[in-house]
Amino acid sequence: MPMVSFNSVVHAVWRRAALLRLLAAMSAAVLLPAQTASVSGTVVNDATGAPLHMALVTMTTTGPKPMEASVYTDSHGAFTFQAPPGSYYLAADENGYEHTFFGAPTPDRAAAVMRLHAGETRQGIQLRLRPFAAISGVVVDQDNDPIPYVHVSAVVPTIERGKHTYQVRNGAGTNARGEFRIHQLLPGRYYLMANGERIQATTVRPVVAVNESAPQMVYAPAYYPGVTRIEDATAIDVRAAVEVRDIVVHMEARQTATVHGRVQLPEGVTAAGGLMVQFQPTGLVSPENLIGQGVGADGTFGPINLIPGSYRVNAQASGEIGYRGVQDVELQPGPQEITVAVSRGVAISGRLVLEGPNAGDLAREQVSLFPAEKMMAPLTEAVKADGSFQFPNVFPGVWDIGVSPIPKGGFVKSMMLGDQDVLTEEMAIGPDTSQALNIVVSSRGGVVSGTVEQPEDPLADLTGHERPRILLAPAGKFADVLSFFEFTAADENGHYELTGITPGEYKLYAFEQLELGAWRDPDFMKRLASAGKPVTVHEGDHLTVDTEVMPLPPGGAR
Amino acid sequence: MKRLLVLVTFGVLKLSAQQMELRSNVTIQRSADEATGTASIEGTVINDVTNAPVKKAQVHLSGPLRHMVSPAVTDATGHFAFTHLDAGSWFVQASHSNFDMNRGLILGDNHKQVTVTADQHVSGVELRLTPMGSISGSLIDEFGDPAAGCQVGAVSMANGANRRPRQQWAANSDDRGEYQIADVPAGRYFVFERCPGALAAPHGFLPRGDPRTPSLAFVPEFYGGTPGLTGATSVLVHPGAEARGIDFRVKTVAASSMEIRLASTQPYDPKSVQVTIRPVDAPMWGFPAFLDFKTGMFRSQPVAPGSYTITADVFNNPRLHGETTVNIGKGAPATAEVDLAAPMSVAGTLHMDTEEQAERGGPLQVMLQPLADWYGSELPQTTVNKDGSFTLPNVVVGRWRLQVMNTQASVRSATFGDREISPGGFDIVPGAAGPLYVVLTSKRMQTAVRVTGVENGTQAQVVAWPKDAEAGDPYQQFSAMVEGGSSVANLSVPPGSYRVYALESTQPWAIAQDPALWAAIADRGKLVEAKDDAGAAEVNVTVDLITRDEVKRALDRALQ
Repeated sequence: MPMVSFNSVVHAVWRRAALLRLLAAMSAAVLLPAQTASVSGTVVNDATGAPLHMALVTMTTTGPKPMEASVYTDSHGAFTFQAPPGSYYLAADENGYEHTFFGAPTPDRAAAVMRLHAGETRQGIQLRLRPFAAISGVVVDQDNDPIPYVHVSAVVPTIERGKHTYQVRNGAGTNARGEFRIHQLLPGRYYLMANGERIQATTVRPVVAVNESAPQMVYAPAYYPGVTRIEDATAIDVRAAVEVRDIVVHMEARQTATVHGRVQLPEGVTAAGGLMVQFQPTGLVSPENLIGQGVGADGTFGPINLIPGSYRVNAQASGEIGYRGVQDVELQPGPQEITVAVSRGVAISGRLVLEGPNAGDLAREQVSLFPAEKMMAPLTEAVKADGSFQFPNVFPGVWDIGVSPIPKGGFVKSMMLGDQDVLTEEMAIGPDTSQALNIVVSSRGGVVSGTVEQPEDPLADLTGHERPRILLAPAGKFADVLSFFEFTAADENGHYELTGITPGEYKLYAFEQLELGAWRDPDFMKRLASAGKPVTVHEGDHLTVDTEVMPLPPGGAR
Repeated sequence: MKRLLVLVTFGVLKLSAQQMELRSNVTIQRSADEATGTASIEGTVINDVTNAPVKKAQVHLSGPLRHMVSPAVTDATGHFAFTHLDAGSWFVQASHSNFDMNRGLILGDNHKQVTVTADQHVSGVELRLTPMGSISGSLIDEFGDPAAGCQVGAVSMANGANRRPRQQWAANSDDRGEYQIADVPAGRYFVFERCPGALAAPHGFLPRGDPRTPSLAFVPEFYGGTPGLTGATSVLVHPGAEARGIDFRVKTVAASSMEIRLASTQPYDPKSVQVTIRPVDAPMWGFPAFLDFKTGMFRSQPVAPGSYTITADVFNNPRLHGETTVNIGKGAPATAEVDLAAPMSVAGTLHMDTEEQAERGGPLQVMLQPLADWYGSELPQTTVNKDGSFTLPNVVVGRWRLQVMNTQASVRSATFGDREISPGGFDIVPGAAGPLYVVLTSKRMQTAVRVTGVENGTQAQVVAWPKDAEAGDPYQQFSAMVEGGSSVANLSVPPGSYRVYALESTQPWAIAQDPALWAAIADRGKLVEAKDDAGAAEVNVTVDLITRDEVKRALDRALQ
C-alpha cells in the first residue's frame, strides 16, 4: 500500500482523489535527471476489462530505504511515470479492488521487479485488479424480528498448529433494521457467524405477575443459516464482484448463565495484585472475544452473565508476583458457582550456546517464550554474558521458543528441555517442570542456491518477469516441524538462494504460484510428497540445486 | 476498512466495562407466590403515527415499594397485562428502542397513573409511543465515486446563548458511500460529514514515509455546503419517517498537517498526551495528532485548510491542559505551540444565609459543569470542608455552571474574584483566579400561584425558573402541583427573581430545553420577585395553563 504520512495510524480511507488541476500542480513539482526512463500502462478491472479511473499507481525502488512516486490513472485508466534508471516494484490501488503488484495478479505470486535502463520507454503495461465481492442480508430472532447492532463475521477455514480451524476474514454490524453488508471479500467460500452476546434479547412476555422474576435473555452466537456449530453451517460461495444478497441469519434468545465465583490462591498466600478472570468460549470461532472481570479483594467475582456453553476460565494475577489458573466449565442457564485455583508458574532457567565463526555476542541475545494459548502474554528475557538466562515465572502450558538475533546464515541447532527435544516437539511446561532449557545456535547454517529453469517469455517486459516461488520442506521424521520450512522467490533470471538452513533431509519445490503459509496444511504437503527434488543438507554446506517449475498438485494449495 | 477496525478492537478491557453493566442488572429472584394481590391492569401499546400496535414494547409498572415487578413485553397485538396487584395507585409506562421516550414524557401519552381497588380488573389502558425517524443519503466525491468510511453526524442544537449541541447521532458511510442515521427523534437537525484520514496525492520520488509527501484531505462540511453552522441547511425529521437524499458531494483539497510543539514548565510523559485538532465553531469531532518519536513533537493528521482549535491534555500525573487556535493551510505557519499548564485550583467558601445546616444526605459538594461545546476532561468537583471552605481542582478557562450538591439549600448569589456571577453560567477567563464565594439560602418565600384553565379532576405543574437563566436553559427549577378544582399552587422559592409557568405536562424541564417548545411558551410566564425583606407581603400571581394540546401543536408546528 502506498504510504501517506499518517496512513499507518489513522484509519486512512483509500479513495480516489481530487481536482485535476491540483494533481497536475503536485506532480509537476519533481525534477528528474536527464536520461530518465518512461513507463506507461493501464489499470483495468480484472473481471470486466474496463479501465479504472483514478486508481493510485505507485512505483517503489527495490533496495533498502525505498523511494516512492505515485500517480492517478486518467479516465482511460492510463498512467505514466518518468523514473531514473533502476529496479522498481509497481503496484495499483483502487477502492473496491484488491491491491495488486505488477507481475503478481494474485497474491500467491511474487511481485515482479522492473529494471529500467536510461532513456528506455516501456509502454503497454497492464495491471489487472480483482474486484471485491460482498455478502448482505439480515439477522433475525426467533420471532423473525430483525436484531440491530449484532456483529456478523465472514469466516474462512484455516490451519493453526497443524489443525483445521477457522478465522474471521471480515465483518460488519447490523444496522437498526438488522441489516448487514460485509464487503471487501475476495471470491471464495465463506461461513457467516452472527454474534450479539452483549445485546439483551427481548422475548414476548405480555402477562407478568407481581414479584415474578424475569430471566435475563441474550442471543446465542449463530452460524448461517441458524445453527450453533460451524460444522453444521451452510457455506456461501462468493464470485468476484458479486453481492450475495438476502442472506437471513437466525439467532435464538437464550437465558444467560449467571456466574459467581471465587479465585483460590495457593496455600499461605493471602492477596494477589491485579487479579482478573476471563471467559473464553471454547466452541466458537474468534476466541479473542473474551469477557473479563476484576476479582474483588475477597477473591470473589460475579455475577457475570454469559451465554450458556463451554468456556475456559482463566484467572490471572498481574501484580508483582504472577499467579494463574484455568478451569474448563460447561455453563447452564441460571445461577452457577465456580472456583478457579491459581498457582505460581515454574522458574525455567537455561543456557544459550553460540557456535561457529561470527556467531555474535551472547550478551546481546534474548530468548522469548510464546504461549500457544491466547490468554497468556509472551515472555522475553535477556541472556547474560555467560549464556545463562532465566524465566522466573512460566505458567503451565505449551510454549514456543524464540532466540533473537540469529546470526546471519545461522540456525537453531538444538533446543533441549532436560532430555526432551523441544526444537522438533512442543514444549509443554507442567507445574513440576524443573529441567533446564539448553539452546545451541550455530552460525554455520546450510546454503542452497540454484537456478529455476524457465521458458523464455517474450511478453515478460510487459507482464513482469515471473519469479518462481521456492519451497524447501523438511522430509521424513521432521516433515511437520514448521520452523524448518524455508520459502523464497527466485529473481527474474530464475536464481534463488536460501540460507541459514537447519541440517537434515529436505525436498525442494518451485511453483509459479504458492500462497504464503500453504505448507502449514499437512494435507497439502501430503499431496506434494511424491514430487520435489530431495536435498540433504549438512552443517555449513553450500549446495547448488537447479530445478524446474512444477505444477501444483490436484486441489492446489487448499 | 473502518468497520473492520471496529471489529478487531474487541479487547478484554473494553468488554469488562460492558460486563459491569450487566453486573448491576441483577435478576431479582423472588417467587410469584409471594404476590397475594387480586387486582390487575391490562392494556395496549399503540404507535402514535400509524395507530398500529407496537410489538415488543417494554411496559414498566411501579407502585408500592415492596413489590418488584419485571417489565412486560408486548405481543404482536401490543397487549400487556400485570396480575396479582395489590389495591392502590400504579404507574405504567411504555418504552421501545425505536420510539421517542422524551416526546412521550413531554406529551404524557406513554405513561398512565392507574388506581385499582381489590379484585378490580382495569383494562383498556392505552399507552402511545411516537416512532423515531431517520436520516439517510450518500457521499460521493468530485468524480462521482463513493466516499466510504466517512462519519455523518446529526446535531440538534439546545437553547441558550452557547448554542451547545443538545444531542448527536452518527453513522458511517459504507463502501457505496451510503449512510443511514437511525432512531433519530423527530426534530430539526444540522447534518455534517467528516471523512477521517488522508489520501495519497500524486508525487515524484521521495523516501517512503517522508513528511514532505503530499496528501489530500476531504473537506468536512455541513449539509448546505458550509464549514460551520452559520448558513447550514437544517434537515427536518418527522416521526417514523426517513429524511432521504441528504447527500454530500465531498470536496478534496491539498491537505496540510501541523507540527505541534508542547511547552510545559512541568515534566510529563509525552506518551500520555492526547492532542486533537477540531475545526473552530463547528460542533464536530476532532482529528487526532500523533507523537513523532524522533522529534518529540506532535503532528496533526493532514487536514483541509482552515481554522482549528488544538487541544492538548495530559491525564496522568501531572494533569496538564492547553489549547490554542491556529490557521492551517497555505501561508500559515507549519508549527504551532501549545502551552501546557496545570489546571487552576480555585479556592472558595460556601456561606449559609441562615443558621440552618446546609448539609443533607452526605457531605456538601461543589461542582462546575462545563458549558463548552466539547469537554473531555475531568470535571472540577470537590467536597466542602466543615468550615465551608473548598478548593476546586481541574478548573480551566471556559464557561461554567455552578452546582452545589447534597443540600436542600440553593445558591442565592455568587462572586468570582470581585465579580458577581450567575450560577447558571459564568466565564472563567485567562488569569482569573477567584476566589469563588457562594451564598446558600434555605429561606423559602411563599408565592400563591393561581392557575387558570385547569379542568376538574386533572393536575397541573407550576414551575419557577430563574429570571437570569439564558433563554430556555433554566439551571434551577422550583415546582408545585395544582389539583383541578383548587387551582392555586403554593410555590415556595428562595429569594430571587423568577418566571413562573403552569404546565399540564410533567416534564417542564424537557419542554424548556426544546427550542421549538420554548419559543412557543416563553412569553406565557409571569415575573415573580420573591423578596426576603422583613414584612414582605406574600406574592400573588395568576398564570394560565399551557395545555398538552398546545405543546403537541407546537411540536407539530415545528415539523412543518
